[in-house]
Order: sequence, then structure tokens, then C-alpha cells
Amino acid sequence: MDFSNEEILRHSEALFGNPMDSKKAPGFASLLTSLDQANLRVVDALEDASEPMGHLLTLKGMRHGG
Amino acid sequence: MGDDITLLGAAQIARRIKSKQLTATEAAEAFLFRAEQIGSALNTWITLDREGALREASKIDATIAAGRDPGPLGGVPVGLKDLIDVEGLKTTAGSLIYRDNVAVRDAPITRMIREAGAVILGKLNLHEFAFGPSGHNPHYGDQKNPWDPERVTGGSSGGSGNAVLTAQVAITIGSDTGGSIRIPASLCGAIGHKPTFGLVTKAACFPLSWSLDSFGPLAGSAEDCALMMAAIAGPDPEDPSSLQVAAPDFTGALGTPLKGVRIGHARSYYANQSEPEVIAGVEAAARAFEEAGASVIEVEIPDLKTAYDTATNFMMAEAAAYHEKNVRERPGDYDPKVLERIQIGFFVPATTYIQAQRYRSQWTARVLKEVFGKVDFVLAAATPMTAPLRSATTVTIGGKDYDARGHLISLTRHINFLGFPSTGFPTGFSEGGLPLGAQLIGPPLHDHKTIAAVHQLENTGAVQYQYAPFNG
Repeated sequence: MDFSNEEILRHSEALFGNPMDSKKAPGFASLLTSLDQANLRVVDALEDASEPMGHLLTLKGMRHGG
Repeated sequence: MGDDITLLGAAQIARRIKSKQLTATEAAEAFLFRAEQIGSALNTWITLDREGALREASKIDATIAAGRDPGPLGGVPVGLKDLIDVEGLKTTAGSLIYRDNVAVRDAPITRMIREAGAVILGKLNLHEFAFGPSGHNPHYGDQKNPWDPERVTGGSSGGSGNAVLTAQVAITIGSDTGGSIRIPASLCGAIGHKPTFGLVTKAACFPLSWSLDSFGPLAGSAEDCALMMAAIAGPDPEDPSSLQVAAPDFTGALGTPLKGVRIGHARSYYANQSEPEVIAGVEAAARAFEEAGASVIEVEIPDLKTAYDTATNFMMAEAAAYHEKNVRERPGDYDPKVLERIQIGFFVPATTYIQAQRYRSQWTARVLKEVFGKVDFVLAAATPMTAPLRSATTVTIGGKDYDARGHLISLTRHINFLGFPSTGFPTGFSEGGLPLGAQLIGPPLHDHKTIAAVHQLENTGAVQYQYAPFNG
């Protein structure tokens, strides 16, 4: 994904109607790059059977343990 | 400091009121006096409701006079984080946008607290929209640490933390999405419990992230946390994420001995990024568990960085969705730092959010098998440092600089992603006189057991609660 400063400024103006303070764009870019990299690791690690609602199912299947 | 009544703790107050050694009105007056005396110096409250509290206390007294049971928390003064609706009081969420938002009915959690007999003194200050780990709030005042008011309480449940430590109430309710009960508990010195996701209702409470939020108690003892959890845990048909399971027996579990309990010390989770005194505090807790009969082994929680970043993606997207309308229409009314965090969420693609959900299922199953397949609980630090200065933007640990706010949340967000319960507890004080804290994490629905384990350490003296000597 493109997290260049220019893209962040363009995207934030499109979303919010106002240009973002350009000094903030590098910080955004750095964080978003890190989060995107996490997503890439997740995509690599996911099993086909993993479903979005699986977590709640896990919790519902637990018991107090007495 | 203060009136003696305010130093009793919730369980003792409830016992004394029930046995008519004390009236609910006397208790309410004592805590209200304290809250009025020092609350504004610490920016504890957004709304203090003297009239409503005394009215409720009077009803409790009438109930007792009529020979009826006032409930397990009968007459105990409590405070609720200002995300939770209380009929007739404002629910501001710590924001300008909702500063005039008056609740038309009690949230279910409020109703449960009232049914248990507690007396609500008011609504507690917080980081705006619960979206921050420090307790900064430009609209209602930064919540201040009672051990050193130049320092943060931790957040987002900052008022919930400093209110308990200064005996302005006996118990508070906070919320925890990425650490917001455990962080103020750690930095202020309270016992704070983040429940299993879905065990306590969130209906009619402002959300930060629907899939991560949990509401739970902060108090001066594990017993008080158990009393409150007994009141608020359980099914709620109004909450779509409610697990719809009966609450475990919190008070019955308190006497469970530690002999035979297996504790996993997750040193690698926190030690390489924590202050030495924080590490020493957790190690002391580990020794205390062993001396009390538990066995302690080292465990590793797998895939921590990916889990943390994925939880961040998840939370940011949900927070952005909730705030979309206000962010578009009223961006100037937000704390700029909170606004920035919300704006990040708009850059998270939908597919990334869904992958995060899928990963959450998979990672949770892996942690249950690889970690909780070997141990009953996991012990770790709750915050990697003691309370930073409110003016600090960075903290330096082991020669490395960290963003002050980001680092506060670095040991707690994973547990919200798992949805597991975690009880935060004090481990002592730093040389500089600041509280140190740890957390005991359990598998889902073992909330009563993590609280009970901390209670056992209280019985041995390894966990010692201390009120902060703050008088305004």
C-alpha cells in the first residue's frame, strides 16, 4: 500500500475535507506502514479455516472451571 | 487522612451498614465530603451528584430499617466512569461533543450496581472517549496521580484510579479496551479487574471498540473487586456481545488456596522493555506465589508483535467507524491527539480489519493451547514503567527512548485482543515512591480465579494496598 506523505495528505483531504497538517504525515506514514506489514504477516499466517467470528465462538465454548 | 469510614473498603462498609453499625447516609456523607474536598485538585470527577447519592443512601437506610436485605453492596459509595449511562446525569465520554448529553435511563450495568445496593456518587473523569492510556483531558482537566500530581494517573480510566486511591469512593467502574483499567491500577496502586470479553454488559455505555471493550472494577482489595464482579457479571440480552453465561461464584472462590496452581511467568513479554524496579516487583510477586504453594514456570506468549499490531488495526478501524460522523462534522471539538488516533482508523482497509478478526480467532486458539495448556495463569507486568510526568512525551528505559503514551499500553492491548480476564495488582513502590504493578491473566471465564489468586497474595501480605496520602 502507498503510504507516502503525498498519498496520506491526499487521502485525508478526501476523507475529512481539510488538508492534514503536513508535519503529521510522516508519523502517520510510519505507523500505517508498520500496521500494513503486520497485516501482510497475518495474511501469510492465516489458515484457510480461520473465520472472522471464530473468536467469539471460542469464548462461548469456555467454562468457568468451577 | 479523611474520615475513618472512607478507609474501610467496600466489603467492610457493606457489613457495617447491614449490621447497623453505620448508616448508608453516614457513608455517603463521609465519601462526598472527601470527594468535594479533594476531587477537583485531582480532576477526578466530571459530575458529582450529592443530591442523588443521598437520596439513594436514604432508600438503603429505609430498606434496612424495614428489615429487608439491602444487597451485597448495600450503601457502598461507588463512582462510574463517564462512559456509563446513569439516568438524569450527563454522560459526556470526557468530550465536548457530549457535554450536554443527559442519560434518559440507567445502563444495564448501572441497574445491576443499584440492585446490589451500591450508592452512585457520580461520574468519573477519563481520557476523552476513552481513547488514550494517560488520562490527559483538555476539556475536563488531566487526571492527576495522587502519589505525585505532576504525573499521569494512567488511562483511560484516570478518575476511576485516583478516586479509589484517595478514598473518594470505595469502588469505581472503569473500562478496558487496551489497558484502561489495568494501567491506572498499576500507576496509582489499585487492584483492577479487566473481565473476560462479554462477561459484563456494555449496553448503553459509550464504546471505543465494540469487539475489545470490557467494563470492570477498580478497588482497594481483591475482595471488593469480587463483590462488584458478582453484581455486574452475567448475561444481558441488550448486549449483542454478551456471552450469556451465568456469572461464576466470585465471593465463594476467594478462599481458593494457591497450592497446586501453575503460574506462567511471561518474563519475555515485558522484561526487555521495562524499568528494573517494575521487573523486580513482578519477580517478587512470582516468589510470593511460590511461597504460597503455587508452582511458577517461565512461559512465552507467541507472536507478540504481530498480535499487538493486528489488535491496533482492529481497534483503530472500529473507533474510526464509531466516530465517523463527528469526525467529519466536528473535528475541532476533539482533543487533537485523540482525533489523530481516530483518523488513523480511516486508513485501515476493510480486508485488513477482517483478516485481523480471522487472526484473532487463530491466535487465541494458539495461546490457549501453547500457554494455558501448561499453566493456569500468566503473570506479567501491567505497565513497563512507573507513572511518567504529565508533560513527558518520551520515557527512557535501559538507554532506549520510548513514546510515553504508546509505551504505557504495550503490555495490556494483547490481552484485550485475546478477550481473556486480567487482574491488575500492586507489587510495591519504586525508590521514588511511585506504585509498581503487575497483572495476572487467566483463560476465559476464570475471572473469579485470577481475583481469588490476588486475594491469596493479600492474605500473605505480598500484596499490600496503600491509600495515597493526598489531601488536596
